Amino acid sequence: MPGFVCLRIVVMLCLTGVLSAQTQMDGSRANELTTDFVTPHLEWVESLEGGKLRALFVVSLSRARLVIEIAQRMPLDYAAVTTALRTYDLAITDHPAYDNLYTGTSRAAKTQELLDKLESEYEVVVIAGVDLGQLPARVKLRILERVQAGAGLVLYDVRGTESLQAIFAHPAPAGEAAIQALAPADPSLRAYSFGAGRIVTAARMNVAPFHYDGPAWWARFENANVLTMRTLLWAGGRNLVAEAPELEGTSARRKANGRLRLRDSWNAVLTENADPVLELPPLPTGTYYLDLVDGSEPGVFTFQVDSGHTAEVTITDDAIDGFSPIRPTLLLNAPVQNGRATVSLIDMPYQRIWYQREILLGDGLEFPLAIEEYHMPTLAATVRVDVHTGETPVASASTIVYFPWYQQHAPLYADTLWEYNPGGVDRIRAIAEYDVMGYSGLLNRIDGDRPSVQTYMHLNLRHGAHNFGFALGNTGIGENLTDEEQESIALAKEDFSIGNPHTEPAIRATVRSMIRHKSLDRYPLAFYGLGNETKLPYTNGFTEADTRFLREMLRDRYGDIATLNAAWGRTYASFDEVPNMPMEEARVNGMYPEYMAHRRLIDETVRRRIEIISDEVARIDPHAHMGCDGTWSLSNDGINMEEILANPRVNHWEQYSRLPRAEVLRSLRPDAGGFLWGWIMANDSYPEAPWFNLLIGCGNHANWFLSGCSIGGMQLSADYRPWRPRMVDELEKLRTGVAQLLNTTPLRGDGLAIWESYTSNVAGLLGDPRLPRSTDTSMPLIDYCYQHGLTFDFVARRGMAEKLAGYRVLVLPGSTAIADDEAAAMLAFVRNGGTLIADLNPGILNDSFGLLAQNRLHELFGRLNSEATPVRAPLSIDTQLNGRHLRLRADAVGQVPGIAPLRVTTYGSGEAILLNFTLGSARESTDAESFATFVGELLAACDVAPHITFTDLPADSIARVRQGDGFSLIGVTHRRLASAGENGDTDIRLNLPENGYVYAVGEGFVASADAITFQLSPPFRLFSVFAGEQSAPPLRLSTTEVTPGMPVRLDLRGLPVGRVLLLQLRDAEGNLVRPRREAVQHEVFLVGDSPDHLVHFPYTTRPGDYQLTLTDVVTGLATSANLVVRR
Amino acid sequence: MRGRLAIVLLTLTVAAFGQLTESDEVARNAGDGEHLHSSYRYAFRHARVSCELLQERAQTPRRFWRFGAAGIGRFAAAFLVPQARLAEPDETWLVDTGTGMILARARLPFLDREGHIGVDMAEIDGFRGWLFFRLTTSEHTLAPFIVSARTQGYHASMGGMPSRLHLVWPGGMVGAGEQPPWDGRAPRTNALAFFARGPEADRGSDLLVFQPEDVANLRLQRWDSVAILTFAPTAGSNRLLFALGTDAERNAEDLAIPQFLANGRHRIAEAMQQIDWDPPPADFTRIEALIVEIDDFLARHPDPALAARLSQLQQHAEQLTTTDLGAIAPLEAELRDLAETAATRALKILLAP
Repeated sequence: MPGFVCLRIVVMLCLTGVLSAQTQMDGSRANELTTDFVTPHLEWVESLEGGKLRALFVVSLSRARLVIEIAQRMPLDYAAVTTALRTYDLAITDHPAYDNLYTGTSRAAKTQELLDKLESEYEVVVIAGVDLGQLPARVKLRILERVQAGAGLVLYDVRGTESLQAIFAHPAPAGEAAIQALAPADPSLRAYSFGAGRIVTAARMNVAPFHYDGPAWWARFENANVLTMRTLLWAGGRNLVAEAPELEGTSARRKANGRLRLRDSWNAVLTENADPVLELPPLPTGTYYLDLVDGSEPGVFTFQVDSGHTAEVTITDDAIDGFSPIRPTLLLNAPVQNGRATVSLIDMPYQRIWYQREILLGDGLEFPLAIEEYHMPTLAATVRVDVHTGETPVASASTIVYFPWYQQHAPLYADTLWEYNPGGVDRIRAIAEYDVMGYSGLLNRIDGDRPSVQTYMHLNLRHGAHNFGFALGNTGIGENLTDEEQESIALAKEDFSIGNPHTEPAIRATVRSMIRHKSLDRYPLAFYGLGNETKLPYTNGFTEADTRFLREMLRDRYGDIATLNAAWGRTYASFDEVPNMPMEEARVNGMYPEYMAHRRLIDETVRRRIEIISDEVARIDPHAHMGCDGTWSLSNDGINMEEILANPRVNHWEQYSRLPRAEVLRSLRPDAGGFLWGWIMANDSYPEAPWFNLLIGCGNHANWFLSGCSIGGMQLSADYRPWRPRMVDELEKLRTGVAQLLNTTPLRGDGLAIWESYTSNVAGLLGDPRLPRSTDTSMPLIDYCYQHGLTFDFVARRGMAEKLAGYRVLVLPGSTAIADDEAAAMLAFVRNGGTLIADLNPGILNDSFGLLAQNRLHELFGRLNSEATPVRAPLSIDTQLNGRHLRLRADAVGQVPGIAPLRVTTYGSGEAILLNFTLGSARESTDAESFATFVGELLAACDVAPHITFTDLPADSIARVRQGDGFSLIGVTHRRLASAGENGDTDIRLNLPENGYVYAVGEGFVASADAITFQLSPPFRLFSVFAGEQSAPPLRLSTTEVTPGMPVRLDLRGLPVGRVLLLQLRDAEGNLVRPRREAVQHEVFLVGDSPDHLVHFPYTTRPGDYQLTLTDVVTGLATSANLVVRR
Repeated sequence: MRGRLAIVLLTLTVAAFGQLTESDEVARNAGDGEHLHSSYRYAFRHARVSCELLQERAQTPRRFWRFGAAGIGRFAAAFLVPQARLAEPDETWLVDTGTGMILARARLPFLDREGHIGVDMAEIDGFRGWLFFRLTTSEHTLAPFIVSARTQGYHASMGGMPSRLHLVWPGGMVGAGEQPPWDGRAPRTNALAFFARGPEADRGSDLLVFQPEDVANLRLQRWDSVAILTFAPTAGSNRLLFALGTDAERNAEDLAIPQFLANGRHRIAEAMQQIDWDPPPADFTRIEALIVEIDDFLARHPDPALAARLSQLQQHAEQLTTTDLGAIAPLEAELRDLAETAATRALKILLAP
């Protein structure tokens, strides 16, 4: 039946969770600020004279967290109306797809919320990141009447003030001075009086640098909060005394009430007390802050110390090759008598010290340093040198170094977030989303003013780029070209045809421009995603250069025009007569060879572009992970994956969990990493995309997963967890060993292969009733295999002769176009004992799409009439095959007249089975059970049968069986339940071939039995089965008395190589010590050749009791030991 | 007649949440063999539905009702009830239920016999792109009704190739011109989806959910650039639910439709079942609050013209009863406008030098 594609399995298995089909969700997560998540902060004001400051914030989501930062530091009685994340709109959900998805987020709801909240009294109204033009006049009137009567108004980065200029008529310079007297200056800050009230405007709510740039960021952030607090207090009518402390020699005296606190530029509190006088310790040259704490107002007094010594640390190359010795140089302005220097290597952003050595300084001014044999767990670190004379500190200096090794060596599994364009991540958000939620990577574009790779390395985030390679014309790209490069681009620009000799230099110039733009030669990307589009749909490719190139391609392929004519069934006089024809025109006129020729032109152009781009990148980054983007198939109908994956430099694939492509990818390039796009899901979903891809075996290496929260709710509390209530725990399970176990345990081979033929796939798109779509049979077959835990692989043209030796059955789904060499490999496969199963019309076309007078494989399937069109007719099969009873009855199935529904031919030692129908059409016309029985019996007759069986497994479940070293791994998931965030509630029986010891992976022992019963709760279950009982892994440590800076040695001898282990350190309160984003790199490891594993303790480890737990992930069995850390 | 109220509403310029208007372009030519008798436009929050009562150019003309649901899909999804001879609607309203739903109704009496066909429509928050329908009749069985989808097409002179419409259901797909296996039979599915390959491939998908038990047979009547689906209700079925939706944003074939057929359709069907089609009594709370607010403004900043307008609207409000559903939203919009006008004037005074 033409175009009769069985989508049932596709649709059941594809990513689910249609946003438009969700019920309206609770918007409190977007509307209400919470203080549940506490970030690092200093105490500033415990109580205010006059009580808490009463404030109403009308604040964009991107700034909402700053309200909590203020509330963490001073008494604040606040109400808040949250607005759009970044667009200055009053409504939060203004996106066409998400509008009104959350309660209370529309413009009407926000207006009403504002009016309601303005019923209460406030000392100050703060509006940040909002277009005032969007506020109804009723709202503006209420606010300004309050201000005129004495309330305050603070406007941070607002728009739409044109009609309100009258409120800025009376400047109040004294107010500006009072606010900034004890806070960092903000040149944009202006103060005004309006009636009895006060107004302040400023460009930013927090003047600290947005991006975390080193340990000094924390001090700037604290100080910036002081400025905001003072602004709110002044505007709210509170009295600011603004009296700075007096510095006299080595002491500071405060004038106002409260206490003094001394901080250095890295925000370390050096000393504090409640006395009026604070004695200052000896201070090296640098910037310091005296804080006014617990008085009537918070304040920061900044001062400089000059000890007479200054230091500088320089390094010629701050991008460290692997973990090779770091060789900075210490430069001093003057010799230091009796001098010594402490050299520390401090990770970013956690400031753990992993290396510390002391060196004696002689009389010189320049000291080469060498940091060797160090452990560094993060992507960036600070080299800090503290210079002392005797015991007195006199100077300190630091520089940042980077460890691209982590960019270039992806862990077995990692989670990644899609970053908002064009922004980055601020430190506070990174704490919540990355340290707590465990995401260790980030995807953003690299053009324009988007953050540099180093920006993310500072936050210990791997940075992958999206839209790399086809970005010519994007801001910032192309501005650094040489004259020669510019010329090549200008010459290629007309068409960028691969037939244009200027195209390759132009593409290379573009890539080099991107490399220069973000210094990728020094700070390489974790992932070079080639973007959404090739910018080359099949409707393109009609320039003169394209046509010339097409004819050259044809000449290369066929050699002479006679051979082409024979293959195509044409009478062209020369290659110059062969048209470069629009594919649709060719299709409707039945000119299939011309259709395929143009398609191959575009495919080849895409392949060449990828080859050039990946080659150019490899010149600067030999480890580059080049990735194709699964969306190519969205703009182009299908994609020649085999050709692209033949490029060894393409080793990542951004994919959308679509079938059968995900399985084709897994089969053709099991080494390729996957980037899973999974952002389209309900908030309450389970991690459906990671579960599915990991289970089927498509989550190899750096298996990135996106779950971006589109409206930025995490900004409210800096806590992502409420937005993903069912994902947090499940993702944590995945990253702490389950994903790595799945990625390192091969699927059990069951002898079943499916032929992946791009040519035949394309033939199925022609809409010709004689040419069925390959998915008509492959998808029902995949569905059956998923339901029964049967492994299959796709096998394509490249190397098929060798690969087929590993299979008993090869299924040819919709394989209407077969080349000579492919047919030869298939014949050999059958001759040697294999079984070939084909559906309608195998091999009636050659691989040029010419109709064959005598079909390929006629030795196996008989002579087929390529002119015959299938017609829908009743189907009845009732026959014996190799001892199995095959029965199938269906109402109306498309079949070629005159051919038996099932025909078996013996050839050599094997058999060929022709099904005169597609499995999809049969399944559509019969009941599910009969269909499954038929497929099961057919495969069993060919000696392909599942290793395990299930009873009462729900429809649409996916089961996969892996074979590890001494164990089986059996996993089941259900995509619909997972994306709906639901659990299965029926008992499922898993029947094993023999008695075994069953363990729930990561959890522990289940039973010693030949069957277990479980539920899909959650809808992802993973069991391991061993022949014998397993024991917990031994935890043999070199010591349990730990000295910070000294690693503890874990003895791994006797553990099976390849076993996935999880090693976690908890403090005395039971909290995991490592940030969650480090889990994939530093908590999970595989037993390798090394007899031991080092457990590192930084110099900054707090003394006390700790517990170390070693878990054998496959069994979930664990051993713990208590450690004591002593100074 | 409630239909007359719609004419009054033509004078409104701003709708609170939605509005219903009646076109004055009666007797406009509507197409070969028919002319437009009257039309109504329902403006939901997102969907825009124009409903046309057409009159055949025949010796014994009959009128029929057609919904051109332009706001629902890019394929101009539409349905019509062709077999019934219908009169002007005797009940039309559109109301925000206050429960996250806009509910609308048109009730059309038969021209030649007692009884009517009712068309209820609901747009629910959180289901953007969807409009839910309930067809009812006072008779034993509903007449067959039609849903159609149409590609827009590109003219060849613009360099485009014709789009090819495709129809997908759980388990199968056919392109325009190909007969689906279920044609003319009782459907086994509750959902269908349309998309196009070719130049319109990026123009989204149009989605349909219905209750298969209500449908005796489903026919694909015309199937080229236009798909016309005829649903024949089962005997005794005088109430039929269905929903039309669209996803214009995402790729139809690879994303939107698979997701819809896998999961979305179940949610739509569930929501469809749970709709309370009975309109709520009119709620005057917001109207009363606005009157108080404007009164307060005017007390502080007197303005005779605005006071007179408020008085007018107040009188109008006092005449309404809890069954005056269609009048609530426009009155509220008027009052909100008046409040904004009063506030703007007060703001000007406040900011005057």
